[in-house]
Amino acid sequence: MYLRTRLLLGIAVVTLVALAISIVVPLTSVRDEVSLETESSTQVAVLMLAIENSIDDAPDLAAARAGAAEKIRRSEPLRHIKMDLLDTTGKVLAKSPIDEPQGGRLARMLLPSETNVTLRYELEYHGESLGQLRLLSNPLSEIAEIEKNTFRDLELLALTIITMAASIYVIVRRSLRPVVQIHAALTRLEAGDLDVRLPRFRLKDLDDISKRFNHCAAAMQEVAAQRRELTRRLIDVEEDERKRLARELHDELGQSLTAIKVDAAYIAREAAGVSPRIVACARGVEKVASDIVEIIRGMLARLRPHGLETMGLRDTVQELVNGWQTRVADRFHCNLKFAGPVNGLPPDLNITVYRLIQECLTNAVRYSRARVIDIDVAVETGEVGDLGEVPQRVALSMRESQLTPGGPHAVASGSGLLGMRERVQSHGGELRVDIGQSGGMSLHAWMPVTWRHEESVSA
Amino acid sequence: MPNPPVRILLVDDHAVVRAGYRRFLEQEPGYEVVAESSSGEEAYALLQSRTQLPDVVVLDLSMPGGGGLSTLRRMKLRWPLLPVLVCTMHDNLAFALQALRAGANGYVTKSSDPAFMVIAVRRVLTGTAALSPDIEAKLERNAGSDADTPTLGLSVREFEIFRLIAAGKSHEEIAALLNLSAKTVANNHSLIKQKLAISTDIELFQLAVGCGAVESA
Repeated sequence: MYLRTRLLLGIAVVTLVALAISIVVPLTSVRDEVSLETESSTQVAVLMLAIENSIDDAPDLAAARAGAAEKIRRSEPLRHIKMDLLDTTGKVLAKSPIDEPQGGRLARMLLPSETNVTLRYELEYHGESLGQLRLLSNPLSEIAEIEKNTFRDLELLALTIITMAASIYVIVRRSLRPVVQIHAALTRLEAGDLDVRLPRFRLKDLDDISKRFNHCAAAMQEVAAQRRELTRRLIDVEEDERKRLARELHDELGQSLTAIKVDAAYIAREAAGVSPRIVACARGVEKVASDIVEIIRGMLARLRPHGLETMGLRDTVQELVNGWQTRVADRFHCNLKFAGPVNGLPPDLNITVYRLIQECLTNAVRYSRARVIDIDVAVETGEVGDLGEVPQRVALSMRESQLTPGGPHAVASGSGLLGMRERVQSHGGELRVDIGQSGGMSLHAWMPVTWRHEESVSA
Repeated sequence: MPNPPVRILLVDDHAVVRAGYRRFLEQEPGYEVVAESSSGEEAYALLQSRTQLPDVVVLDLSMPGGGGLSTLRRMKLRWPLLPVLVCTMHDNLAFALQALRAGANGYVTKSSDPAFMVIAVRRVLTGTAALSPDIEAKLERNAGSDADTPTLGLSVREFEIFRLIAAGKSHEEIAALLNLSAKTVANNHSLIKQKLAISTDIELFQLAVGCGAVESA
């Protein structure tokens, strides 16, 4: 069933029920009223007949008069009519009991000033005048009855409308409940939660939306995974290339230059005291070779943290921070802290943590106004199957504090940081950058530790 | 005065570098390169096969097959008295410290003046530590933040004994290796524990693994 059909049907049913009630209820009361009305007309006739009979049967005039009066007094209350017995002088001898209705304000307002229509009927006892029966119309009761009916109808109408509105509300709410679910799912999807899925719905069109939504979310998830994998491969390729370059620079160029230097030193010493010009020339060669070694060392430091495999992450990072620290000692102090088995991470995470810290420091040197920078590297461990206690998560945080006054922080948009986020995400982790009220930046990154077996660790 | 010749074993994977160093070192009167190896393993095997050990080993740590440090550890465990001078491209302090903790008697970077090599060989022979000026400078700068390397508070002799104890050698074995009496080794053992503020050999082992003096099992 479609949503529109369901709504239409629901509303139609409710409206029809309401209509039926508002027709049936007044109808049933009309039947009662009609019978009451007929009863009351016969009642007057019966009463008058009874009076006539009692007069005819009376032994004398006085008894006839008393009998008639008694009949009137004892009669049932009459509807819309008052009956009085007057003697020949016009004195009221008896009044019919009246069912005086509680006339409301409406009744009084509608009551005409000249209302009473009087009907007189002469009573005789064997030809002798006994008195008069006076019949008075009683419009008040009629109006009161109408008023009562009107109010009852209004009440019924109000009740029907309220019930109808409530029923429609419930129907719409129930039918649209999946819309609330869809909305919530979209919000989560927007926030980046690609795991969100919608359940099947009974209504066809909503179920269709649900299926499409799930399809889109799955597609997005796949694309995200592909992108992560691609980034990861890209980073791996980049790191491998850097590693290769670094090795060649170090092993081939570096060693050759060392040989040149040593040979030049040899020549210089050999020629000492023999040819000052050769000595000067050899020293020159040695100097040039040394300069190139310096350049290569700078290139190596940028290319690849040497010793990450041999010395472990802890010492390599410490060395990196110390290196920067000596260069920027006048600007800020860097506190580096480690927690957990920092040296127990797989190679690809080692390099990412190293690069993150490198990027943080580069950023800090370029933009930071902080006097103190705290860097924490924490490795959390957990039980994994039969492997026992192994690293499960690595968290890195960097906080700037004690800022010197100055302009706003210009770091969050840095492309280097963007690269870092990609890198962290490629490990299935998250990176968050916050700018505090004082303008100090804080960076938090965490990555799960996964051991990739297909990766060659030896390289 | 006529000194006995200084016999050197040169270990470097680059033939051209070895040739350069050989020429350069032999330029120094009395210095003689008696053997060359292109890898740590080869050097270790060579040392094992020789009846007479060289006076000093000049060892490059970054060679194919890796494990320069573990070769160094093995060498120093087998021949604790054999002076080993590390000669490497690596100029970072952490690496130098690890080499020293693994037992290197000297650490010279290839970027330093070649003339220092000759000085370093001489120093190592006389039992003094030899660090090239660039590493020396870094060590001084870093002196304040060495809380995590308490082993540096030990003397060269004490550190040797510390390493050998951590490697599971008995007092008698250590005494034989270092030409000492077992009693001296035992005295040093308790002195080391006192200096490092530890009470058991297990703590000593953990400390040694932590600072890279021995490899964990």
